[in-house]
Order: sequence, then C-alpha cells, then structure tokens
Amino acid sequence: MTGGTEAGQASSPLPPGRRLDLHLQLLDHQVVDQDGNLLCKIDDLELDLDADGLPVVSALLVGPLALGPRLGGRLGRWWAAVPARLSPRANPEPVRILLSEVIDYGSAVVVGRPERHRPLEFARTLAPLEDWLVRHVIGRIPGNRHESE
Amino acid sequence: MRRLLGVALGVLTAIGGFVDIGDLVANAVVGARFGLSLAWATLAGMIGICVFAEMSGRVAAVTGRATFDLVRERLGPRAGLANLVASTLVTFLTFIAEIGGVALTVQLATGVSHLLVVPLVALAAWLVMWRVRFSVMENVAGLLGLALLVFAVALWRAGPDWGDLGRQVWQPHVPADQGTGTYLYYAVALFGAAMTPYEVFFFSSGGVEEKWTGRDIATARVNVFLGFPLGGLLSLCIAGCAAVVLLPRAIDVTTLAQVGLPVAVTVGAIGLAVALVGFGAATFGAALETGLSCGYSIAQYFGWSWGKLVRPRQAARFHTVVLLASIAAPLVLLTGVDPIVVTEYSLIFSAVALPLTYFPILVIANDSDYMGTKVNGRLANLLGTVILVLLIVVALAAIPLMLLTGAGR
Amino acid sequence: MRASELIGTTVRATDGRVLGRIVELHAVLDGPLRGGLSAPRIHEVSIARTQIGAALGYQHHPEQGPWAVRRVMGAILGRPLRVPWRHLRPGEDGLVLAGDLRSDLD
Repeated sequence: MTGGTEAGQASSPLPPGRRLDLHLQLLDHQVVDQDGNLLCKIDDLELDLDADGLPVVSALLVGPLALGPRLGGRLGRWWAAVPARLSPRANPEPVRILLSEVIDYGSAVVVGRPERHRPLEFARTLAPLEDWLVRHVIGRIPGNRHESE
Repeated sequence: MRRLLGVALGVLTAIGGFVDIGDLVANAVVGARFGLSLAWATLAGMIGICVFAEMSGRVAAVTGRATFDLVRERLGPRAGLANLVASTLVTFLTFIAEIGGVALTVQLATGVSHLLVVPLVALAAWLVMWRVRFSVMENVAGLLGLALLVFAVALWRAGPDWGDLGRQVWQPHVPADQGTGTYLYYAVALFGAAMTPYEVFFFSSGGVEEKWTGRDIATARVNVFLGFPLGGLLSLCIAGCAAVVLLPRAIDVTTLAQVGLPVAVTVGAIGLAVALVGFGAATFGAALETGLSCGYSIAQYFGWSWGKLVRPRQAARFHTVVLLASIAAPLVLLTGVDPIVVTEYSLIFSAVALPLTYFPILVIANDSDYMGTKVNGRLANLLGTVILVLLIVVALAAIPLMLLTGAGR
Repeated sequence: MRASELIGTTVRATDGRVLGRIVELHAVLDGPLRGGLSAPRIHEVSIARTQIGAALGYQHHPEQGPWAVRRVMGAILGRPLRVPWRHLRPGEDGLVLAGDLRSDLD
C-alpha cells in the first residue's frame, strides 16, 4: 500500500494502528448509515493539532460550504457563496459529522444514526435541500411514500 | 429452467433495448447515403459498448456501487464535476431526442402533430419513472422493442445482392458521390450512437438497484455479449434496409417516416405498423433510461440517495432532478426544433463525451482495492485501451468534422 | 484547519527550491478514542510534482491498470516524496521541509 517512496527518506516506522490515507480513502468517499442507506459524500475533513503537534481528524465536513474550497478558484468561491447567502446565520459553517458517529472506515464510511433521528431522516438533517424538497415538492406528489411497486 | 428463462429475458431485453432514436436515425441516414460502407463503425462501436458495459457491470456487481458514484472518488471533485456536467448535458440532450422520437412515432401512427403529443409523452415517461418497478419497465420496453426485428424481415424480403452488401461491409470505401469528411463525420455519429454515455450509467445503476453480486457477473456477461451484438446486427439491418431500398432511389433520410419506409415497401402496411410499435417501445424505453440517468449521475456525484427501491420522499433530490428534466425536455421540443436534428446533435456531443465517460471505468475496473480478484484481465485491458484511444480520436475529430461538413450536409 | 488546506499546498526545501505539492496525508488510527474508533492522526505526507492523478491513487498503486496508463501516469507523477509531518514548518508561501532528508535516518 505504500508504493512509490524514495530511498533516503525518513525511515522511522509508522506507529501501530490501522493506516488510512486521507485523500485516497476518505475524501470524496460515500457516507452510509448502518442500514446501507446513502447519506452524502465526505467533502472535506476538519483537522485539529494535538499535543504532539500532529493533525487529528475531528469531523467530516459535508455540503457546498465544504466542497466549494475543494473545487477551488472562482467556481469554488461561488459554490460556497450561494448557500452561505441563503443561510440565516451570519457565519455559516459546513455540516459536520463528528467522528464519534463513525462506525467503520470501509470503501464507504459507515455512520451510526444518533438516537434522536428516525431512520432515513438523518439524511435530511445533513442536507437542508433534501429536507426542503421533501416538504415542498416531492412530499406533495401522490405516491411519494411508496417504493415503486 | 427458471434461471434459463431469466437469462433469455435478459438477452431479449438487451436486443430490444439496444436501439434508441440515435441508432434508428444514424443507421438509416447512413444506409441511405453510404450503403453499408460504414458498417465497420457500427461494429466497432458495438464491440466498444460490450467491453465497457461488461466492465461497468462487473464493477457494480463486485463493489455494489454505480459508475458515477466511483468517478468522483477516483478523479477527485474537480475532474469529477467536469465529467458530471459534460455527461449530464449530453444525457439530457439525448433525453430530449428520445421524447421527440416517441412523439414522432405517435404522429406517424395517428396523424396528430408531434408538438401536441410531446407534453403527454413527457408526462407518461415521468409517471413511469416515478411509479413503475424497474424490472417491469425494462422488460416491457425491451420485449416490445423486439418488434424492430421487422427490419431483418424487410431486408430479407427485399432480396438484396448479399454478395454486394458483404463487399460493402468488408471492403469499405467512401462512395464516389460523398466526401471523405462527411464519411468520417457519420462514422463519428455512429460511434456516438453505439456508445452513448447513458448506456453504462443506466446499466451499472440498474445492477446496483437489482443488488447484483459476484454471482450475477456471469448472467450480466451473457446479456452483454449475446444481447448487445444481436442488437448491433439489428442496427445493421436498419442500415441495410435503407441501403437496399432508399439508396438506389436517392432518397435521403430526414424524417422518421423515411426510416420506416423500406419496411412499408417490402413488407407492407402490417410491417410498418410493427415497425412503429418497435420505434415507440425503443424510444420510450430509452427516454426512461436517459431521464433516470440524468438523476443517477447527479445523485451519485453528490452522494445522494437515489433509485426506485427507496421511497421517493427518501430520495427527494434525485426525484426532483428527474422531474425537472421531464419538464424541461418537452419545453425544448415545444420550441418547434426538429427532433431528428436534436438527435443528430446529441450523437455528436455524445461522441465528444465518450473518453471522459469511459476512462474512469477502465481505471476503476483495474483497482484491486475495489475489485479484489475480479480486476480486469489482460484481454479486457487490451481491448479497453485500444477502444479508449479510438474514442479519444473520435472525440477530438467530432466538432471539427461537424463544422467542416456543416453537420453532414 | 481543513484537509483541503493541506492538500495541494506547495512544499519548499530550506533553500527555497520547490519540492512539489502535498498529494496525500498518511494517517494512522491512533488518535483519541471517538465513539469506539480512534481518530485518524496524520503522521506523514506525500509530496509530488503534480496533482494530476493523485486521486486516482497512482502513487499508491503504481502497478495497477493497463500498461499504457501506468506508463503515462508514471511519467507525469514522477516519484513522490514521503516525509514526516513534524519536519514541515510554515513558510511564506506554503510549507517548508526543514531538516536534511538524510539526517533523519534514525
């Protein structure tokens, strides 16, 4: 898994523990809940420096406010600006999934549903757009409560 | 026995579902102008879609993830977004063409102007996408699409010089009265028709919806390697009919009626009626596939829930995209633009988007982290790479050829 | 700090020469326990000449894929440099790799 390294680099081995390459294995990966329902993609990661001076992942960041900076350039700024303007808050922050909610890091990241949410409504708390559309558009069309027969 | 029936159904559906408005128009237009001297392009495109459909089906079966889902993971958000925008625009353009195709078919059958029919077709398509079960949708459209086999009957009844047809196929050359530029332009269009991007999005998304596992790979392969080539032969029959009946009379194909003319001439009114059923089923089925694919690609890039197995209120953004597409497409057609012209442009833009669509599939199918032992073997990689190089050439040539030849005039 | 602020950042040597951009953050799950799993902690980063193909993972799996794609990717990416996080310092424009590489062989 650690191909392509050059001779003469620091050879102090990594500490024991499962390895995770953040760009390859975490960023842009799917987040699912325990029932396999699709929730969102990981758009960015929040990092804090710990006492050893190493960055630690503290939260998964989701949504256009997180994705905008990754798209970069003028497109990225516009991408984040539009929802920011629509937000009622003065300094809008991206949606955060705390690490304490993560159950497994696989090719998709499995997130446990906090107790207060019923299944499949967790997605709506992660995405205001989904919530709005259920209330005002899709939720008003007959047949929206049934899977295709 | 039941398994055999299932496989047979899959193959038949693949044959009937292979042809859409793009294939109908491209093959008929080409047959009437170039005979079968562009058959190599249809055959090469057919091999291409077989190779890549197998790959994306295998990826869906092994990873449980659809193509676009993985594109962003592997290309990153910027390149993935560029891919998304290009693919979705092309797929939406194709959706417009398919709705137009259904409307034209209804016009041929009933005499009612296609403009009046367009909103009804879009509504019907949306209702099916909203409520009808995936497998029912696919099977009905695919089986009714087999009515297009009437073109094979028509070709046989036309009593052509098979030797001459064979020579056109295996010794292709530009006919004396056509330019090389136009010849190559239509080769590009035929590639665009055979390998339209939505085909793999839909195939892999369908595999995920139907929860394929490793054990389904064999069945998917039979569908692809038996169904698609037979569908390709059907395309060649359409071209052959035009070549045998229209080319000698110097009749160019510019309307859907002319696509069906050879059948009317050789098989009669019944034949034409059967052909119309085939047109309607093939284009309506493709309208469902392209409409859903617009939703699939956007939902899969952003990680939204999608598909028909969850309740619509649990995939609101996905269903909103499909709804918006179903509203916007008829609006475009109601401007009076000729659906045949929309079809021809959709093919050229498909051709431009081809390398973007298929390159990630080749990469993902080789990734042992995702695929385990089911990564591409040498043959798949060899074919995939050769086809991809060909697609890059086609994509680069498409717009210049379109401008040079005035879109094939 | 966000991962997006690190990935793509230019890294220079102490003499100002550009070494490349950060393409990967190598973490280990040895951070504080959060709800059952340890948090990922970044120990090393990979620096490469260019960003292209980084998400394709070619620097991690150089042996994957069709032969032609591998050759092209190998030529574009070059060989990435893998360095410990603690050797990076903030610089004027990006990060600086402090310390002589060879002297880090413990």
